[in-house]
Amino acid sequence: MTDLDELEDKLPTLTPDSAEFRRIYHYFSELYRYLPEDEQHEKYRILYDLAKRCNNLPYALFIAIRVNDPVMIKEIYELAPEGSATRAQISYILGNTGIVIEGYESDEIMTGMRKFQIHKDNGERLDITEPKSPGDVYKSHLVETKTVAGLDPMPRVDSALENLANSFVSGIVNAGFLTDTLLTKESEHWIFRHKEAGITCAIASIGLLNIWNPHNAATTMTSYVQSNSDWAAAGALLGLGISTCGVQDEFDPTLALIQEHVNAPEKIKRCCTILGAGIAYCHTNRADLDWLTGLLVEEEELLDVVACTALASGMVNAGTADPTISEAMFMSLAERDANSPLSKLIAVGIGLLFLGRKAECQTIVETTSILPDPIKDFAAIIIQSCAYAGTGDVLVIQKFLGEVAEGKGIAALGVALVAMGEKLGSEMALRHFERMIQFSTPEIKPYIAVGLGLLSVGNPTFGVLPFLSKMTHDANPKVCVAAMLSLGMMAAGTNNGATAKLLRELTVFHQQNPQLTFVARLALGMVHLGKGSLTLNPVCYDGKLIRLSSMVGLILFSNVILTSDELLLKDYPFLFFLFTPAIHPRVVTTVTPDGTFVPVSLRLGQAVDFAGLPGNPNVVTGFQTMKSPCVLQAGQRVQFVDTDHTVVTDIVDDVMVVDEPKSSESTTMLLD
Amino acid sequence: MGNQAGGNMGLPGQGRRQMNDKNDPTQPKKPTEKKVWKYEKSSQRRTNKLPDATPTTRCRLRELRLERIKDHLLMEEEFIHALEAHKPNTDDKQKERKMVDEMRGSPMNIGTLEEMVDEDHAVVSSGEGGPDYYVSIMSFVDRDNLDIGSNILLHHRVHAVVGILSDDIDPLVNVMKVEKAPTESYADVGGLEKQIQEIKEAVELPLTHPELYEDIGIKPPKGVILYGEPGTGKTLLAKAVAHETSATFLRVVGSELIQKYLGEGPKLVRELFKSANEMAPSIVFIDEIDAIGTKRYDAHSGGEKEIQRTMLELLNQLDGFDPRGDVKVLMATNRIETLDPALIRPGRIDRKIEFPLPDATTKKRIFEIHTKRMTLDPDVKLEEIYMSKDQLSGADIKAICTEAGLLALRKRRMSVCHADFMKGKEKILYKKKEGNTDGLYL
Repeated sequence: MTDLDELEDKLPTLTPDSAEFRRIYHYFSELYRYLPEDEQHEKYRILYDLAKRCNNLPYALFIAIRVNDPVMIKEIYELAPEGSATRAQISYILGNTGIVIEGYESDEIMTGMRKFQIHKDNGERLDITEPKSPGDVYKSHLVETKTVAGLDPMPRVDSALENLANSFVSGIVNAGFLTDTLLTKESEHWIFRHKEAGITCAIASIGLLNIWNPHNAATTMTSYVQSNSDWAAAGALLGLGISTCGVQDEFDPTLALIQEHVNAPEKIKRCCTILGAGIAYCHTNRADLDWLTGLLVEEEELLDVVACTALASGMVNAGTADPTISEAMFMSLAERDANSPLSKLIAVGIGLLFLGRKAECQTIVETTSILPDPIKDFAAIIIQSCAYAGTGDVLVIQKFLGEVAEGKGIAALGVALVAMGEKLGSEMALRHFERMIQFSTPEIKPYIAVGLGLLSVGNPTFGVLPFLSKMTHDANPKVCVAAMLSLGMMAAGTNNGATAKLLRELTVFHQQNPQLTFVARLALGMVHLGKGSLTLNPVCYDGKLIRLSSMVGLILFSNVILTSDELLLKDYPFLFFLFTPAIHPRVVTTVTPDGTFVPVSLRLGQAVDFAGLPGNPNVVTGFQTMKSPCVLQAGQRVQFVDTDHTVVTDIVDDVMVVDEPKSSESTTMLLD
Repeated sequence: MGNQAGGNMGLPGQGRRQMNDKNDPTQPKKPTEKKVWKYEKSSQRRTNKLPDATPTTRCRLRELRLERIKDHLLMEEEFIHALEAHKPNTDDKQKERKMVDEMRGSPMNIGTLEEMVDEDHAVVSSGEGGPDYYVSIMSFVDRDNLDIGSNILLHHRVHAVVGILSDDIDPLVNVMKVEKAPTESYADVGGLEKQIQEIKEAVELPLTHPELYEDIGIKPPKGVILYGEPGTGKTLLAKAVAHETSATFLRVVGSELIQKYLGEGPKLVRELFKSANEMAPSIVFIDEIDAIGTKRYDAHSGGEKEIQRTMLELLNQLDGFDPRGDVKVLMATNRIETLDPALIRPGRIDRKIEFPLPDATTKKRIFEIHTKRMTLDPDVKLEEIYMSKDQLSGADIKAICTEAGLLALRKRRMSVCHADFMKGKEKILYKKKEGNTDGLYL
């Protein structure tokens, strides 16, 4: 027992000084992770009150977001005086985690309207604004084509797929930088080199280029929306949705267009419009989108559209556990074809509704037993894994492991989702996956691949890479696809050399199968997401928080991977964009409370787990001192060392608000 | 492989036909596949490691974390049981295993694989100077693990290959592998920021982020030599590298490479680099390189010649004909001027990192690191100790802190006071001077 443990009973009345408070806070906020669920809330509440008493509002906010209590979040927001540095920092944190407090929609920072500008400025300061062509990403000059004329069969080329890959990659790589070398430079000339759904995807990729900037997207997209081609119009609507993702603007041009086209006669237009709405307003719980629920139960509607609606509705209302919506989804799931992969997407929609709601999912999970056979188990497991996603709950993992042993692959995905976000649990979950590989049957291999990818999103370690690498050479193309996309998801936005090299080699290895080459290219594009300035990692703020919007994106994308042979690679390539809500910046930048950039010195290094360490331990090790902005890798931490400025909080991610010191006492003291 | 011509003569008819079909002995597997396999093996071992439960002091956080690990391990056990239960016919497995054992016979001879003829036949030699045989390879032997020159098990009568003795690396080299990483991290190094950065650029970054070098268009440095006065932190920094890196870390002391018999030293160097290559990405750390790396001169004794040959082998391994993949070499010495110029020329050792005696700020940092875990009296004024003009190395500072702690212990005090430090310092400086007059550091 240390002195810290002895403090626990005194926490409700303690008022420690700031250094002591930090020590207490970090220790207990780590400690309470491992407590049973029913004890947690009350203890977190005590810690929250303590942080409030010590006037450390950001620390209190982290607790409030972790327990997901809107009342607490609002209280902290209101406690910070308007216009102060603290308020700005709190708004940035809320904006990053996608939380908007009702009644304060005018706060531009919180609603994400500054996101685009900050991303663009970061790009300029890191010197990565120059558009990158797909060829630069593939590094074609480094790929050895081992074809010997006459001996080896010539690689099979499918130019439509190749063009599509280029469009996707161009959009992903230049995401948020407005321009690229294909979609915007050659514009229509390039876009109409695709066919059908290819056109849709190419135009929607323009949405990625304009992510967080719906107004600019609208100017490009309007012409396509009015285009005669339904494929093009559908792409434009989806693209608009993508560009609006993570921004809540009262006057955004997207919603009006979506409402105008949602009843279009063509299937593709309806699907894309609805998905666009889902991506745009992901995790916002907006009331003006309740018409989605109505679409769910329309019996005349096609299964495709209903599946998209379920996804969209799940995305918008993620984590609300709204009983009317879940009932509507459940009804349509019960009535529709249980064998179709599209039905699985409806089940995923239900899962998203219960995201992070833990035990609240029990009722609906029990009712899944009345569903027909193949979808029954799937629905039960996916709903539970969403409900417990990121909690590390040991009992749920145990249950899932039992189901993996019975051959239910989807439970492997569940293990990964539940274990995500907490270091110890995810490392141990990797061990479970090793066991699964040892005993794996061909059916569950794709699930293992996706699980491995999820467990190391944004953190391509030597541990996971070889396993996925082996699976990318599997004889079963389904396993290859899952492993390659999981590699992309794992290394998304890291520019990781080892992964990129592997994927480059795979484009050659699979040159006989154009679809696999296509997938390898997509994954390669993801590795260079936003030229390395963006990430899909849901763990943010030094591991203190899990971003729910990222979780939504990752859950959707994992299911897209798992159904890829029937959906993504057939008629629904646009499902690829479902990872959009997971995209977030991984650059740390520093601004003054009014939003102007100031370069300050930061220490960037490996994070030390200092919770419970005695004395005043180092928080980073093996660090380099640099000027902001700097790019944060998984497992790294930033320490603020600039003496000319003060910061609001030392838990840093994304945007950090710095301030001039209030009085120059410290400097004058030195001078005397 | 040249001596097999004779061995191939007395072949059974079937074998000869096959020999004629394939003049070129087929290698058991392509080199690319082999590399993937080895890589995987080394990484598997890495993920199998249990995560650390921090902090190391006894507290509830540690308890809960350890409990969490335990829960997961219990689940893992249960999971494995469940998986095995679902795996059908384990009885058959055992029966098969028994049959294989019968077929292998007992005792088995140990031989060396000299040449692969085809997938099912090989030329083997048994023991020293014995005859070579053309034998068949049993179907249950894993072809992937067969390698030219590997030790294999032979049936005692028909000499068929029945198994592989997996470990053919010199056990001496295996000892060098650092299994248990040292506890020192970069945080335990006071100052030396420039040195840490240089070593990271040269050793760690090329292994973890090769693309950076690729993009700039340079080849990363192959090796680094650390030099400087005794006690300035060369070995400490190497330990920190071993602690922080995810690559395999092999450490060896120069004197270990000097062997009793002719040719053994160079052989050991070869084995060392061979296994480093197999376990790549890896870092080889050779401490006290001056033991073998001194300038060449006319040697008078066989022993000296042998040491020089060992160094020549090292030169070849560092920048010879064979490509060195993901192997980085770290060397440390305190007498760089005595080293052979060929050893430290660019291309072999590209970076020379000097470790100077610490200046005042660095001394302060070192004191802070060593006193961080100590219970200090409020009257301790460390600045008095490190601001003085005495030449103190990092090791001296550590000694002062230890000495001060010991003095406090002797007096049964719970905390260390300023007088302890002053006494400790006096003692250390006195000893140092005394040592100097005796010519210890000459």
